[in-house]
Amino acid sequence: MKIITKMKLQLTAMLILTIVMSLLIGLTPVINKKKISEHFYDYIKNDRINNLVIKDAKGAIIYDGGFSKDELTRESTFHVVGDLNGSLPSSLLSTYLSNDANISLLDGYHSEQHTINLTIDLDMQKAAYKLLKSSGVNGTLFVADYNTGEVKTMVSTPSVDVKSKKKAADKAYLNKAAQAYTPGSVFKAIAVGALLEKSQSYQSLTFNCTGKYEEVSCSSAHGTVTLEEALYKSCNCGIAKFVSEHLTPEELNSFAKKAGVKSTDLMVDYPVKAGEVDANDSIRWSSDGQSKDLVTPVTIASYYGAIANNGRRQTFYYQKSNAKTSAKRIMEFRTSLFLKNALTKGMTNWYSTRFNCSCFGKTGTAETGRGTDHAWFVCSLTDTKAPTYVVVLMLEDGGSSTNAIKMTARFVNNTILGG
Amino acid sequence: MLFNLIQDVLLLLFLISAFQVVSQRHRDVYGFVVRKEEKVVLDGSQGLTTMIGRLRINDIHINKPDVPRKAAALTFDQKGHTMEVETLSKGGRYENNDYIIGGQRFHFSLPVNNQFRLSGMMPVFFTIGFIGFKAYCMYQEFPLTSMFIIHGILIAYVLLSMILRSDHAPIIESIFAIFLTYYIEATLYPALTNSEALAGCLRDSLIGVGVYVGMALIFSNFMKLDVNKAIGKKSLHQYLRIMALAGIIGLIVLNIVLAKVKYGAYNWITIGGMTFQPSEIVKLVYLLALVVPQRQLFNDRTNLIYTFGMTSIVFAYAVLIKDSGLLMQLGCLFIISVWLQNTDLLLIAIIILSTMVGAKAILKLSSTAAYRFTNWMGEGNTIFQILTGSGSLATHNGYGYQSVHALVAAFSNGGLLGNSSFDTLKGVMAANSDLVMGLLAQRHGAIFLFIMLLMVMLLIYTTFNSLQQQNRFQQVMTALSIAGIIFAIILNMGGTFSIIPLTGVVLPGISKGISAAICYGGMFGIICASGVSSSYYKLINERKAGMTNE
Ligand SMILES: [Zn+2]
Repeated sequence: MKIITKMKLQLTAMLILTIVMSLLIGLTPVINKKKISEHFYDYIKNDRINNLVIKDAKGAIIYDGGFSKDELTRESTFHVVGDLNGSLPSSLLSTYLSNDANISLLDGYHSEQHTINLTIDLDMQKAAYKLLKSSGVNGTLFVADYNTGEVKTMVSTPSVDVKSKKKAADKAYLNKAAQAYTPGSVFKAIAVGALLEKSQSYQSLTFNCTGKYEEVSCSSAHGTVTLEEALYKSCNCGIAKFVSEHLTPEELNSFAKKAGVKSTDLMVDYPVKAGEVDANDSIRWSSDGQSKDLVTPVTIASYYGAIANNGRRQTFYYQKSNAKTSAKRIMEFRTSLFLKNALTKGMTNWYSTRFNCSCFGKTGTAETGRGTDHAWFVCSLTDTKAPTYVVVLMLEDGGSSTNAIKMTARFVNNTILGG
Repeated sequence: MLFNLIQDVLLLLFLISAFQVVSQRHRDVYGFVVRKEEKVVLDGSQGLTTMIGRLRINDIHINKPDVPRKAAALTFDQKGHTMEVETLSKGGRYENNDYIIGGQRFHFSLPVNNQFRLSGMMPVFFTIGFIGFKAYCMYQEFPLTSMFIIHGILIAYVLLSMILRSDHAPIIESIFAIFLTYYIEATLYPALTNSEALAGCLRDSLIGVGVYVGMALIFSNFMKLDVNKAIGKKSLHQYLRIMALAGIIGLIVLNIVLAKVKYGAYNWITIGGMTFQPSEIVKLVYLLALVVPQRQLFNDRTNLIYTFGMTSIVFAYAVLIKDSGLLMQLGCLFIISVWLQNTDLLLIAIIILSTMVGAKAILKLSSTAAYRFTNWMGEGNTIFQILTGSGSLATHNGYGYQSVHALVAAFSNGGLLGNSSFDTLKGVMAANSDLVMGLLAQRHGAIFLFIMLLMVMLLIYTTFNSLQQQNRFQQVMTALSIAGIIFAIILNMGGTFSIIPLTGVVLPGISKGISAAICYGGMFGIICASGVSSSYYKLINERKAGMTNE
């Protein structure tokens, strides 16, 4: 064979090899489409979390391509930020990652920095977490601006340290602010709201409390109470009588629904658990927040915020990009005024010295049926020198409402007003 | 995205015009047209040197016992415009452009080709347009005027090739220059994620492009020089081989004395602040040593001892530094040189067989190679699945880590036109050397990847057509160089996209690295020299028939 022929053969072989290689390279993405896209989405996930920055209301860094080095920051913000395993499906990281990345067939995926600005105040968040942790009882503290809808604090204990390899405590993965609990007396404001929405004339109802009314009982006889007094003195019998005499179970259910008990969208960017109210079972206990009633702390904040906001409910949000300005009226102005005055009287009579600003609020002790109580305290700040915040504290299984007030007062005085 | 689209369009225009030019020239012939009496026995496609003798390897073989095995080599003297006869054995006789041997008379005349065509210059214009546009694109990312100097070198190189080579369109030079624009990009890559590295990257790419172009010019001109005449007839290859032997031993000693383990390989040395791999340069020197013009590789004892001695030394060296990629490349060069320069089929078979057995034995010796091989295979895959990367994708945390990133970068992250970033391979070592094609495919998209493969095919096709325009020494050099380059491309691209196991071979002309620039710059230079000289080209176009002034 001549040398030139050999060379041509050699080059032909190389050409064929190159063509075969090109074909195989072209077939690779087709054959392994599924696997390559799996790795691609893994890569995108990593890239997106590496390029994510989460800042609080004042610009403090909560997350910057990785979790904070500060343990307190990590633990106090866990129920807001979440983790990378999707343990909290409603959390920021989970929803961020479940949103589709911007990928185009033409130019693929672009890695870019993404900043999420929160309305949450990191200092308040940390203070709230410390407060709850030091109380020895698990629970949640939720603070939002009832005027703008900004969520300022959303803390739940026990929490999880995403950097720790230790097994998390029981129920640590639940954000208690968005879970439904038996509300107890904090529900009374909803029951009274339902009455007044039917007729403002019910404002003048009176009742003589002997400590027992049908199946409902009070811890002591309240004597003659007006509707206003029944509310702020937390007279179970009074509220039960007024409601059961003047409202059908459907009417109570319907207003509770309007008040947001069954809503999941009270916060635009964080779904809350739908609560429950079934007055058909026992309208009397239902009106006192017992029986089958279940309400989330966010709902309570939303309702008490609406009272402070003259009957208009502001939808909450914790990511600045979701700011909504329109508020929805859920009760008449007169109703909200009545509730505000009643609850303010209660605060002035018993607890005004505890708080360094004017506010109205309500305690609640909910029997869980397990021999322990959920302790509630909700208050809306109405002072001109204080921000327009509504604060809800719920201590799960074993809190006392006195303790709840003490803790809330400390938080309001030291953190909200002092900070 | 728009920039990438324009680049793709310019490259496609280059490819189309280049394919057209090369296929037009396919019909051109450059060697002697030989007539026996009035009958044409050779049409000129045998190349510039016509061999005559009894063996079948000769261009003209005369099956008569009194004719020597190799009688003579007849070459056209491009300077003197005369026929030059190199008598290898007694038996033939030269007389007025006729060669008489075995009682037969052969008449030699120059071929007739078509005239110079303007369309032949189109690929060069597209290349220059492309390089200019590429410089503009890079300037968008690094607004530094010095950016243009590097691309300016490439434009000057292509322009110079066009001016100096009226004989043919400098398509290989154009492909080489286009490759080098991506070399610049790959070398600047760390600066895109770390702006402090820019000065160093810019210096590296300037040096690299300088070395590549410099080596190409040196080797391309060396091939055109008639060194034989300068240093005495028939001695060129002997000088060359002695120098090559000394060079290889020097490099190996240098490697063993100075080497530090880097990236898991035992072949990086640092001289004067520059880090490079002697093993890359060994390839080029070994290639030079393998060429035995006008002779068989094993035709005498000296040649035999030299060839086998040299081969044993370089193979032992490759085993010593545990570089399976180098070993495969050297093996490829050895087999091809044996195949080209020997007639004995049995010998060829023995050599190929023993090389294959040796390769298999070495695969067992080297744990890295074996590890890569088994992981590339994966478990329970069919051959087709293995050849399309399924094995690597299954082991993405171990062996497959790098190729999986390259696959994702190339096929998902870049999209069709590329996303102009480097993110997928950010954390991957060797992103701008071994996995450079993944990196560029992400930046420029899947379409670009296939344009690049078409460029490789064009490179082979162009070489295919210019081989016959040369004398035998150049032909063998070119055949070995193109083999060196294409085999490296297959090892690199195949490894990157998991068609074959990773071997750590860099991509010629594109991957970052000075030692690769010396090696492949030289090989590109040798290929660039393929084709006839401009004076010869002009001459055969001026003459209608016959080479004497009849
Ligand atoms: Zn009572």
